[in-house]
Amino acid sequence: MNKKQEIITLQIGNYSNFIATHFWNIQEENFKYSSRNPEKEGYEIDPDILYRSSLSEKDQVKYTPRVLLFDYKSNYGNLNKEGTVYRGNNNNASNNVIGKRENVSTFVSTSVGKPVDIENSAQDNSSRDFEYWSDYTSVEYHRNSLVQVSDSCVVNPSGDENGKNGPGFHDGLDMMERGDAYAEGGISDEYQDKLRLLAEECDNLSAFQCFADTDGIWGGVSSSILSHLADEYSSKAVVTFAANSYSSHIAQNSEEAVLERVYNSSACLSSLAANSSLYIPLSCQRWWTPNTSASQLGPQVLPTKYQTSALFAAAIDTATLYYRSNFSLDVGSFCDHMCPSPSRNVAVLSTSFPGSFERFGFSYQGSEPVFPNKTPLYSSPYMSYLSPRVYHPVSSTSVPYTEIVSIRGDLLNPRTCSNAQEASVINQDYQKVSSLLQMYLSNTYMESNPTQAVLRRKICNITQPFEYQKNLYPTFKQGNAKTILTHLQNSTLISPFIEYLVHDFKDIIANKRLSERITNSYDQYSNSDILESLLQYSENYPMNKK
Amino acid sequence: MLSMIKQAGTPSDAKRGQALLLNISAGKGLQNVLKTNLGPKGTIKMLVSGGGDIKLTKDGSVLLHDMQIQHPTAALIARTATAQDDITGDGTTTNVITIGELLKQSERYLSENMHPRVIAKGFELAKDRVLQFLEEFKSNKDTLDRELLMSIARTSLRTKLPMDIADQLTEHVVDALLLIKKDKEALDLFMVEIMTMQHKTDGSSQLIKGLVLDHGTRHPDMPKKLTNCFILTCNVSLEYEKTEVNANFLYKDHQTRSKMIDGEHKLVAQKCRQIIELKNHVCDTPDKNFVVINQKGIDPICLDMFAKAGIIALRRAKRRNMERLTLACGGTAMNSVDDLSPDCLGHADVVYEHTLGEEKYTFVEGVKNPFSCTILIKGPNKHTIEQIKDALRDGLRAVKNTIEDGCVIPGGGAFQIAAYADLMKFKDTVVGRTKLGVQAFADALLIVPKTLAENSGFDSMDAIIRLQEEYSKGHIVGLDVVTGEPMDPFSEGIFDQYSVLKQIYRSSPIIASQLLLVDEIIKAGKGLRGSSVPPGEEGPQ
Repeated sequence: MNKKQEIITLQIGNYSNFIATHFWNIQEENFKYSSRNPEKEGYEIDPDILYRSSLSEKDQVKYTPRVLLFDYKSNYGNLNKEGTVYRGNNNNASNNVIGKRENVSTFVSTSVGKPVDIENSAQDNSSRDFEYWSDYTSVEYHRNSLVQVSDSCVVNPSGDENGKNGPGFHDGLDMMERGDAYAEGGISDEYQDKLRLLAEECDNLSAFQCFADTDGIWGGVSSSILSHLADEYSSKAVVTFAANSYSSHIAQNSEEAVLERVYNSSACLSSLAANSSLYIPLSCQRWWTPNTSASQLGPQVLPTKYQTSALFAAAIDTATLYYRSNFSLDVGSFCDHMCPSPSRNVAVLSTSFPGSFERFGFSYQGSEPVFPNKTPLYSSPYMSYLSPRVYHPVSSTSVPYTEIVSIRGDLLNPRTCSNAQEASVINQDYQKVSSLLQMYLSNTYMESNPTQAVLRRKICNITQPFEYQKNLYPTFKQGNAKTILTHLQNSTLISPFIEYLVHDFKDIIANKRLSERITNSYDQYSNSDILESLLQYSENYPMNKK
Repeated sequence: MLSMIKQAGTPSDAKRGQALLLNISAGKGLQNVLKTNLGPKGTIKMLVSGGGDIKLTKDGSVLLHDMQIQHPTAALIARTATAQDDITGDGTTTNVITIGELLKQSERYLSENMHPRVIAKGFELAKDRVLQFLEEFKSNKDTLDRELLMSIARTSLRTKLPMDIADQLTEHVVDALLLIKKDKEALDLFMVEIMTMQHKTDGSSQLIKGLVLDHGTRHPDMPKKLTNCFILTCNVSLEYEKTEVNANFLYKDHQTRSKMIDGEHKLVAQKCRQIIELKNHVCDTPDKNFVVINQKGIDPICLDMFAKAGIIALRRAKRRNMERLTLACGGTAMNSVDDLSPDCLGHADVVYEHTLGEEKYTFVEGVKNPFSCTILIKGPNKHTIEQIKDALRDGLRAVKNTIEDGCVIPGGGAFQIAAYADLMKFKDTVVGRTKLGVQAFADALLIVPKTLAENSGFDSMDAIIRLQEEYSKGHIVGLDVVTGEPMDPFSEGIFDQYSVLKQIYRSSPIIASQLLLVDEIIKAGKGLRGSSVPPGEEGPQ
């Protein structure tokens, strides 16, 4: 029963596209720098799961991601409808010539991006910020993968899209339900058709992995899409990575922006999680603290969309190795593993990246493994939590219900081991690495909380290190390890976040702290529904009594 | 006395003027952009996106949708005009230029210190009169007459496409609609599917009395063409899958696990076998064949079984096509294989696959009752296809409108000329300054024939006067865009749609008078940045 599974990826929203673009770039690198011989042993990370092959015009096989992406038309930058990045004619001089002639400038969009030169891999773009995700993409898309949301589809009275007085959850939902009468049947029809064509090609479609923004209209859009998936592809698993976008208003402590985010995140948690098999909230800013400008990710990550999304992408890439590498496991069992029950499907993600993995201090002295570090993985100071509002430092008694620990690259650093040669042999041995990690985990967990045990644990390890191209991926100020360890856990660590949403959501509704335009809903997902499902979640994830 | 002087000089008055000017200039600006596209001789616009995508269009609604509009007033006008398109499918350009012209005409009176309310009142009166006149002016016809519908479709398509392509499509549009027309039922345009094919050489389009599905078989051994086919439309999952994500196999050892998986497979295979049995039952002679079209997935094992039985099986068909299939071929869509019977099968003479590059198309032709059909657009490149597709949609809507209206309006600006004359008569019966509002409205009406003349390269004043002279002799005349002379729209076969004109002259005065009555523009919301004037309008550009 080792039929190849296929996964369709959905990318909904601008920030999600930033993350996903990094994700695809990493996939390209995985493909290129496969440390083992793909002819003989196969890829460690199976490209066929995520990619589709098609014949190009010149009858050559061309691989494009099996993806459906949604963004505002104006956010596509230089990516044209054919799915390729338009790199020609990109010097500023020619743009200015067009811009000067007033008549023409009405029709020629002058705000095109500045795509990087993907051939020139030595160029360091890490301190740069990109306005468009298409500027640093190294993959080409199929034209049926792109869904452009017309900017005029959404009534956007004054605010901007970045989460301040802009359109909200219900606007997105409305847009999808109402459709845009211009294109017959509207945007819903368009994406359903494109999705159908993608699904039609798959022999063994197993799941959808969905990158979704929670801000602006995208929460509503995603929730409409996910409920379509639940209708039409009912037996497929859906993994949702719901990310809060990086927003400058939040960084500037704008109260309104925070309130809007609370509202949208609440609506997303209640509507998206219900239609997902596994729901993983992510945030790069600490918007729940009084000082919202603090970064969730540590000082080495610059507060830009480009940098924060790069970190997310690396973590997601490693965390999803479970179903993407040669373990022949599918997304269904990934979700089954992670969720002790269908209503407890919210997971927390943490990663060792970009810090150096060596800090953990795994080594091998003589013939004995050494774990100098006695803290359990979930409260390790070397792991940074990407999910919102996890208390720091994590109490060493909050043992997760279920967990998946994924590692790519070398576990042992030959330089710190007494027997360098043996260390590198062990690094290549899947079994040994796995059992070393297993030993570390069970020892430390037992020590810190002997009464509670992890329900299900899985360790995924591959030897292929994390490689990146300087011009497409930021070099973080410190670290940038080639080994990445991620920890995906289903635990009560998420409860403070849910409690926070419950509390503030109630406050918003009771005291009418947001304009009615945002909180008014007509039919689906009314405020009381949202509150009810939030309370349900807070019941399922009780707060730890300290 | 003193108070009057004061009033004239107060800052609020100046602001009023400013806001009004802003709105008027927005209306005029938009009018200028769209003006050149009106009529069969209008020029086209090229839209270039950031990614280098090119779109060539003359269609007002496409243009308004795709171009970036910054100015809030212009966006408001654009939204009204595209709403027009949503309702009637045509007349966007006319709507925009009429709104622009109404504003422009009132500007004259406003500068002479007339109160906008008076003009708005005049618009209101004139609007009612024009709509009333429209009722008198329309000519009731048997709108199922093919010739008449051809003229309507031709008039609509020629304003959007080059003549030769337009003429070719005209016939398809009319035939398609006559095909799906059922007595005493509203026309469902969804029953006409528009399919596109990027063909290297061919530039012709065709009408297929049947369906074209945009996917093909996924098994190399399946037949590519079958004749005399039974068609099974179903919505049954033929894939091995776990029933629910959170349900799991509970197994003790590896054997039990594989046994369970096998059991699951057998279940799917059983469904396939039931379908194949039905095939063997109905296809009693070798010339009969069988096609399965499924809305859900079919996995490779099942495809293999079907291929061996000589069945064409298509998976993941469009939901709307399922409805159309049963309409066209007969039969019913099945949700389960348990109650399969020969009655639920449809029939088609021929089903074949056509491969074009990496795309596959399946044609289902020769159906029993073609209440559903497909217009296949072939074009050498993307932008031509897009252009044809947009125009086609409008053409279909135009014919549909006419069939439903049961009447037509002579085109080529004939209505506007006649309505102008009528309003002039009406003006004399109006007392007071409101008269001037009526006059402004009447002048604004003439923008349509004027622009038509201008776009065809004739002098607009000259053309209008000649048309008016001819009309005063008692003829109904429109502008001949080829010669610039007055012509008889009935004999030339140039018609406008009643519902479109009604919509235009109902909505444009309303939006125009609303804009006229604006006395101040204030930024809404609690935002801190920005001034009360929308961006882009401060200071000279």
